[in-house]
Amino acid sequence: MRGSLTFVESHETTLLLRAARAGSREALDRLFERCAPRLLALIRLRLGRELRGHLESRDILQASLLKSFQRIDQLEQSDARSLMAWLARIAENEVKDRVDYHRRQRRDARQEVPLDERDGDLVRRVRSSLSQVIFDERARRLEQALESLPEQHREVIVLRKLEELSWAEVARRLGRSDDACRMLLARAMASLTMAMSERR
Amino acid sequence: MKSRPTAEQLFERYVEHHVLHGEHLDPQELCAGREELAATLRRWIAEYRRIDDTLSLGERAGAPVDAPDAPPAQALPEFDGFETIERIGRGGMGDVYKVRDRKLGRTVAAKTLRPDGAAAAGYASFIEEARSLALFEDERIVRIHEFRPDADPPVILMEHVEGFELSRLAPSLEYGQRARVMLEVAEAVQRAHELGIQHRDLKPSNILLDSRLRPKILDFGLSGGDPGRGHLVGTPAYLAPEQFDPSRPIDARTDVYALGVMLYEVLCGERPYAGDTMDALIANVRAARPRLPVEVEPGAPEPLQAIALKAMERDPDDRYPTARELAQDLRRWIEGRPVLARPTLYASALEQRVLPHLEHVEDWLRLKLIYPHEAAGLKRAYRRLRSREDDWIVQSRVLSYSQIALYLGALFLVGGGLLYFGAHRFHDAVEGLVRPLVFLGLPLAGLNLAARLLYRREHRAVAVAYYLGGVLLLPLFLLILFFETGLFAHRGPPDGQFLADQGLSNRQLQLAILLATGLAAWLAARTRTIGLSTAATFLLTLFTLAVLTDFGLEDWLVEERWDLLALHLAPLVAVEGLAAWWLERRDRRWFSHPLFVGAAVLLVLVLELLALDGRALGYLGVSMTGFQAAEVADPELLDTLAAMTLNGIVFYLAAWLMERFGTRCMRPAAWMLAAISPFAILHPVGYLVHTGEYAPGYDWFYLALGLTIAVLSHYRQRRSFYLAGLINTSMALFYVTRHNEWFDRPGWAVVVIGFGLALLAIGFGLAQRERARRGG
Repeated sequence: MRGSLTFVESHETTLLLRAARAGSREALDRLFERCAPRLLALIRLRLGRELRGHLESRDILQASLLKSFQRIDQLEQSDARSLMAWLARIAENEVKDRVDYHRRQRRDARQEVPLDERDGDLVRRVRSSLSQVIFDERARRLEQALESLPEQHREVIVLRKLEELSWAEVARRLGRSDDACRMLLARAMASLTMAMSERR
Repeated sequence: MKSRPTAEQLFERYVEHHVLHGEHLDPQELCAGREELAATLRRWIAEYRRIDDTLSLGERAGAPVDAPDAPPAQALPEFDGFETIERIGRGGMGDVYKVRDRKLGRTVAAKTLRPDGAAAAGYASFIEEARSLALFEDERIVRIHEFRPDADPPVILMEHVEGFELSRLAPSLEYGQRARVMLEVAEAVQRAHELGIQHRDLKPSNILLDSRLRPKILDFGLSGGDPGRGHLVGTPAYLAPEQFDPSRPIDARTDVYALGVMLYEVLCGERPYAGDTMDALIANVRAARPRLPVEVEPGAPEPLQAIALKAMERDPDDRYPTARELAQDLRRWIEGRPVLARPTLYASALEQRVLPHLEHVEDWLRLKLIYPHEAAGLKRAYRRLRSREDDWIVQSRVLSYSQIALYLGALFLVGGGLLYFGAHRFHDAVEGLVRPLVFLGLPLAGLNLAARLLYRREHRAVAVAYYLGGVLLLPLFLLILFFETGLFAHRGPPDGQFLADQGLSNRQLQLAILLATGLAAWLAARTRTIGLSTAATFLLTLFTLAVLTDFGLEDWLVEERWDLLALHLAPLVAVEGLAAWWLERRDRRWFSHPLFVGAAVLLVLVLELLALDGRALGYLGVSMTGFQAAEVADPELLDTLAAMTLNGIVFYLAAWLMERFGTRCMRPAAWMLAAISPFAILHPVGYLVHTGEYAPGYDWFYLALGLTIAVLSHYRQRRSFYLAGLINTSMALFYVTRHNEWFDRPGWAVVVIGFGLALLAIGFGLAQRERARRGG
């Protein structure tokens, strides 16, 4: 049931992605509305509290989205379950690269993409749509609540909910059985809810 | 007995079921037998579903009020003479299409209007007028080519701008770029205002940026109607409070308000006021306190935040009077200069936040968690915070090692400069101009250059310390320069030349200090820092003294005519006080604070100098010499004592008056006077003992008095009392020893040491008791 639903959704997003790549502004907006807030949350969580001050999450989001446009052809061949899972993988790599770079350089690794670059028009459109991704008060509270959770709890939520990995993949990453991961997610979601209600 | 499930366990069961089976259990069934848990459970379930939605869909909470509907597929309309290419937007008034002019071959935008006769007529006359006024000559305002009121639908043909809405682009821009865009917008709005045209519907989606980030303002004047009106036209989130109130006039400041809201949104990505319903939104615009942009987006620069908040003040009188002032303040920030905006929100926000703390302090005191003096200390600290009012974000008062090093460095630099000056002028140990140029001139020029550079690069604290060092070196260097070159030297007999022995004329002295004063004042105005304005105040006093050299300063000092010095300095008290008052009214508070303090210090100095030798009473035409015992050597002793006592009272009264009726900037000066007054009131006794007149027992009385004041300070909880007590006690100890000529008596020293040890032991005992009481 759920699998086919995801398939339909992912098919639709693939179409949107192609349309956006081809220049449809509306498709781009819809796409961002769908993925960007979660992608931003993922990037911020992956950066952690310390690095968030040094690396600009929006820059990473922007770079990830631009990369996704450049590699759009690879989406169909990839084994990603959904567009979000595919984007999450790109974003994770981007975060890893930047963090490595930052650690090596020990300096501000902000990489501004200049406005008039070769792919200028696309960059501009991505940038302008980025404004829709508002990291509002609620998202901030959710992030704080997530960070207050034990690591295993946070990880299972990030992997399953934000990165949309399959249960098999989640199980592999966490080194537990499928069922154990499901139970873990249930407990994690319950404690996340408690943490959020305490934070009001 | 089987333990009954808790709310947490029930909730976990619910989540587990949802995760494993994707179904939501009914909370009613879930807590069967434990109905009292239902409310908690429901709350948690609602929260869980919200979180799950957020995580799974990533939908934004709270759609903007004017969000466009999903665009339905629709046939494109045709306009006579134009080829319709596509729809590029839809607004409240109608849709906007990109069309091509078949004759001219150019691309223009066509904005359709709802067929509404009255409005169309209004537009026709507006566009006519705007064109005659050359409104569209400004390239930052979108040009209107043509209006066809009779077409179906009525259509406005205007310049087509290939660009992006400011609201969408802003988050990707640097703050400097955002400020520059807003500066251009404000200047364009100002230009329209000068033509008598208001926009009244300014909002980020009405600003388009082209690829070089140049703004274009859309829909100028299209909100319709005559310039005095414009209530409830436009987009609710950007409407000024007066636009909701038909009885209040609308003028250029209404657009200034919208510019402020735009700047706010551009800074932090959120609008200052939101509401689920129109009524809630209007209520918030009218009364709610917006969050500070830095609370939303910690990286937002504070000066830009101040500009935004000042422009969107609720009361139009508090806003920038015109868009030009707003633009000027933005330009100041862009050029690295300090901005003038001091929004009232800062003061009220701080007030609101401090008040609950003060109530807590009262609570703690009542519950005996803290001691009265601790409570007094906390309250004092909060008062200090409130008096600092709006500087709390701009200036951090936390002492850091970098600050300590910088100001110590400036101190050593100036100290070294003074020593070098002394070696040069007082001891003739340096000759020629080359070495002073190297040791004073180069650091001076280097520091000023470095400060300029650092200031531009936002290293403000370092730059200010460098400026400070440079400003204080300047007069020393100038004096040496004047001496070596003979500029402004005094010709003729050296009588009346204050530094004649050093080969310097009064004119040279005055000029050197005047130039330094001017530089300090200019830098203070530029950097808006208390450090430099304090230096300027100090140099102003020095300059006054330098001017007094022409009036016989040297004679007064030699003849100990302190009263003449005091009387000549008195006008400066008034000058500094008035200047401080005027500057505070002109919103230059950073300059006003040190001037008030300087005036207060001078007041103390003048009155105390005047009291010496009983001159003050003499000027008042009163004399108490008649009451004095014949054997007293100093005929004016009683007069001097009376004047000193009066001074203490005057200081206290002045402090009270300033605290009670004065302005905010007077407070530090008032506190200084209040702190000094107990000491000033006690001072005559010390003076009496110092002269050794009257009975010798007075020194013992003085000692007892000093001790009493120190002990009584506990009752009043005044640190100034305690300090006055300590200082007077130590002075009394000295006089007792001197009058009795006990300087060679080790026994006396041992007694004093013993007394000190005894007090230390008593202090320990008291501390133990206090701790026991606190612990129990």
